[in-house]
Amino acid sequence: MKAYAIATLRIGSVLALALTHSGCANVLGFGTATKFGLDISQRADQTVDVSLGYDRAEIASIPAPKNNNATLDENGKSVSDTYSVLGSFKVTYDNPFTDEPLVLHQLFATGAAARAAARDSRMQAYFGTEAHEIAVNQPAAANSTPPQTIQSTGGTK
Amino acid sequence: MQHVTRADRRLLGTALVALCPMWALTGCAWRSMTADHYFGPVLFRSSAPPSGRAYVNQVMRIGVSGEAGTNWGVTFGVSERTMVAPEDFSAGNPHQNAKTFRPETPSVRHGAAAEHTEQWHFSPFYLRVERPQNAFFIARTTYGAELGAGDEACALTAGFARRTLFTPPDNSISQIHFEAAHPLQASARIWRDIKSTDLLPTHLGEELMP
Repeated sequence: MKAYAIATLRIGSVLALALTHSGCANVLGFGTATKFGLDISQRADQTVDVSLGYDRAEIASIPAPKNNNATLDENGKSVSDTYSVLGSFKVTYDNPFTDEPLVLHQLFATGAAARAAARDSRMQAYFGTEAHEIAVNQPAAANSTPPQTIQSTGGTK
Repeated sequence: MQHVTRADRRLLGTALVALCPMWALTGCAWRSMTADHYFGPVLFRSSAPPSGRAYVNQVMRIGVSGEAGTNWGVTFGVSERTMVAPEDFSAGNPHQNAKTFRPETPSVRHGAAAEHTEQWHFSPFYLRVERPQNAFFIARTTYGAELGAGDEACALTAGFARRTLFTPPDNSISQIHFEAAHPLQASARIWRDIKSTDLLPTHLGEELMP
């Protein structure tokens, strides 16, 4: 009985250590997931996700400043909203057992680079073209049969 | 001097036969910030510039495998992990002038030159995979069951799961093109430490829109 308790304690310690390291980093991250079967998963700062059967997800995690670190204006309101990101991503999914199960194309400018890129005419042209393609292609993609394409562009400041 | 009987030899043979599948179907990995250490049999392959357009490592394990370090977990079945680090085009990188942009056409990515680099290699006992500091993309695929907790995945899965995680660093422009069917032909680039418009790469517009 004592050995069983010690073993349980050891397993508990390992799990606690593992969970301490699990996905709590304050970093910018973009994730995708394709699942078939039973899945229970969690990403940083998000609720637990349980799925049975087929499921798919695209996740963006953008760090926000804590209130005590935020820059305040004369009225005491926070003027620093969140982390600067300028990005474009395109994800194409198909049957996991075919030749093209997943195709990702991602471009991201972060922090000061995002602010600089937003002022740059070449990047404006790039994102303008991307936005145009999304606006033109999105209805067709929504009505198409698989493979399905998800495309997005945008930014935060 | 003890005599080894036929029964002893048979027992030894049986033990060896029993151990072979155990060795073949078990393994573990230790993941640190600088390298991944794999103990036990694994299949692996990799590509790097100039033949590749990113630094890509792919490792596949079959059977029961555990991992610890920056990511903890245990997997039953087939597990595959791909790590991608970009070509660094930053202004401070001494090699950046030697690198020229190559357009991303399917004929280049799936060309004959790239095909032979997709060959798998077998490591029977130990494999060390360097982890570049600027590695920013990880794809993990599991066929079977997996319990994991860590930066890469925090999940309990029974069935099939493919997860990707892209973590572009601060003050940078990062680009990746990844196809799960051809992971070694991924292309990834990064321009780091861009803190003003002046520091944006001169040919960035052409490279993004060839």
